[in-house]
Amino acid sequence: MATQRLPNYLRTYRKHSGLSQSDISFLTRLKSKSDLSRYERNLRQPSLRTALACQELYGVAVSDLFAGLSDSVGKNTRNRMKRLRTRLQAKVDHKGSRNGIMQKFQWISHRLLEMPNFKLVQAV
Amino acid sequence: MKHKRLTRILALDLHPRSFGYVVIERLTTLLDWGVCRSYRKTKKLQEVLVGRRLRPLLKIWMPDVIVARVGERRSKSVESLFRQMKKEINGTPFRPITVSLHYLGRSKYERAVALTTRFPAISCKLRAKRKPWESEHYSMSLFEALAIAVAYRAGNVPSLTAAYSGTPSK
Repeated sequence: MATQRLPNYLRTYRKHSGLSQSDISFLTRLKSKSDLSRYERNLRQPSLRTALACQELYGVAVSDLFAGLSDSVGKNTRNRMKRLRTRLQAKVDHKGSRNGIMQKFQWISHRLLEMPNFKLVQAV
Repeated sequence: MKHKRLTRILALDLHPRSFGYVVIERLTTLLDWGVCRSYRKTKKLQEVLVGRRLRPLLKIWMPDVIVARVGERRSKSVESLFRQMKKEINGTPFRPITVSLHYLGRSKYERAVALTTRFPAISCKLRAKRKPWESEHYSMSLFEALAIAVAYRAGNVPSLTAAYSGTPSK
């Protein structure tokens, strides 16, 4: 069974630390603990500042703290990169290899190849 | 992807007025734990426990499987709570298991001590061993839930799934 990672693991790391929501909200400079509660229940997403504060606090990378969110954003971005690559390839085929377009095409192709699990299959 | 194969288990230890819960991922990652209680003295007690305590847990943790212990000596209120929960967790596989947690320890306290060595994060919840004239602390329910989760994960307990939901057991 393939289970997706949860959108965030804030609650888990907080519970392991033994700190209360009030403590964490004080440490991360949130207005109240209810904000933290909303983040933990995935009703809202924290600001970048709060996310970085959590990273500093727990000693865990933001991409691990917000694992599910990170996965979905990554997947989405990769798909968009593939789409842009296809578009650029069409332009290269149609108009010839102009410097700017070629550079973009090569950069995106290179980035996609560097990514894990990327299959070099032409996106339709 | 390396995170594709996770299995989140929500284990419940049911009591007439409360339930202990534990959420584990794989075998070693303890995600959440606690005891939910209600002090209402009305007939809506079970609705409160299920609607206001269990429902948010299901929403947050999205478990793949929910495990609860089915003992032979259950009170009517626990049975009622059990039925309410079954209604609530529609869609998620619900696996009632017969209890045989003795391999983790003979008594509840022994089990709790054994589990705190495996999961040090919950060691702060362990109380001193109770005297025979003292009543059991409510947080023991949490350790029982963890024992159920560990036992289920280890595959040491027979599942009664077929009898309860009509689907083949794991």
